[in-house]
Amino acid sequence: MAGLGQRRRTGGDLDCEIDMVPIMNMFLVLIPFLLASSSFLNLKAINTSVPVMAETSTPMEQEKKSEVKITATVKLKMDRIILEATSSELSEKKLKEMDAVVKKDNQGQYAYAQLAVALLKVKQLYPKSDTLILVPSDGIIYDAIIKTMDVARTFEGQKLFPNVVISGQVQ
Amino acid sequence: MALGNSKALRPQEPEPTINITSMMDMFTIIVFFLLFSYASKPDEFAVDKNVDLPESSSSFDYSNSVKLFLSDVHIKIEEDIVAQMKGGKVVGLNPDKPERSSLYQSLKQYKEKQISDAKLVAMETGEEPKSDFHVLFFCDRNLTFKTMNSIIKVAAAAGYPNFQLAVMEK
Repeated sequence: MAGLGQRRRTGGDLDCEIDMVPIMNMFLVLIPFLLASSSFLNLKAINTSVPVMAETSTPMEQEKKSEVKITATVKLKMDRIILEATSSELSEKKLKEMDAVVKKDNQGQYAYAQLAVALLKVKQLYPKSDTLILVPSDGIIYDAIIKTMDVARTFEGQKLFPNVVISGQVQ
Repeated sequence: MALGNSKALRPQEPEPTINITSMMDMFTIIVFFLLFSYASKPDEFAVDKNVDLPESSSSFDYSNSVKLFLSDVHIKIEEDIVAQMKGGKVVGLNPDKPERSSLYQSLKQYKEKQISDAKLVAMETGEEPKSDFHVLFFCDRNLTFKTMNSIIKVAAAAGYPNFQLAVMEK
């Protein structure tokens, strides 16, 4: 091995340089092309549906609390958010205890954090629950609906109600 | 003239060379980064400039389906304008008879096409035909729910009760 190295050094090979200018030219063309054709806004999606008719389940009062599923209904009004819980497995009184009203703050913004806390409480009581029905008023803008859906799905990394169904108000 | 003479008399300096190796390294990294980010994205399509999508924390990738663009000017399905909007209402849509609207007709056509395509695929693969079709909804962030709801109802009547709402990642 040492001999080979010695031979190389004594051989006196010329230092050859690769002409990188054409490669540079190619890169200079490629980079603006790729920059122009790539978009930096990432498009994502939220799965949702409209309510569909389903068979009602029979009440099972004897079921454990952790097995009971409730459906949260969030009514998005112009000045407040109303949270109601519905379930065929619980009494009216128990369901009423989970109800909450979240008013807009001083800046006229919905207090999403308060809504999230109320939803978290429901989720902790009945962890099997996964469906939330969102009922916006006619004048509510789409941006507010998306923000409410975000809050309803996850709060501080905790999964709340992954199935959000959008429903119009019943006249 | 004197200046020219003095230049000629000056001893010849070696031609300066720029070392472009570091620049090459940088360009190589940029090109590879752009190529990989380009390849990892699902099919791109132009979002109507009238549609300003809301931001969301959702990290769910959209799947390819019928794309419905809803702005305050018109409704587009894929590349075709199917209805005009005026004052937050769909022109020519009677809420009591949605099946007469062009929006319903277009969605119905897409649904039928999707069903027949799914049957063909099922015949080739020997699996059950796909049935969970949905509409990918591109809606302007400032549109009201009243407008949205009228279109959602038509889409549901045309056989699309499930939606994907397109949003921009935060």
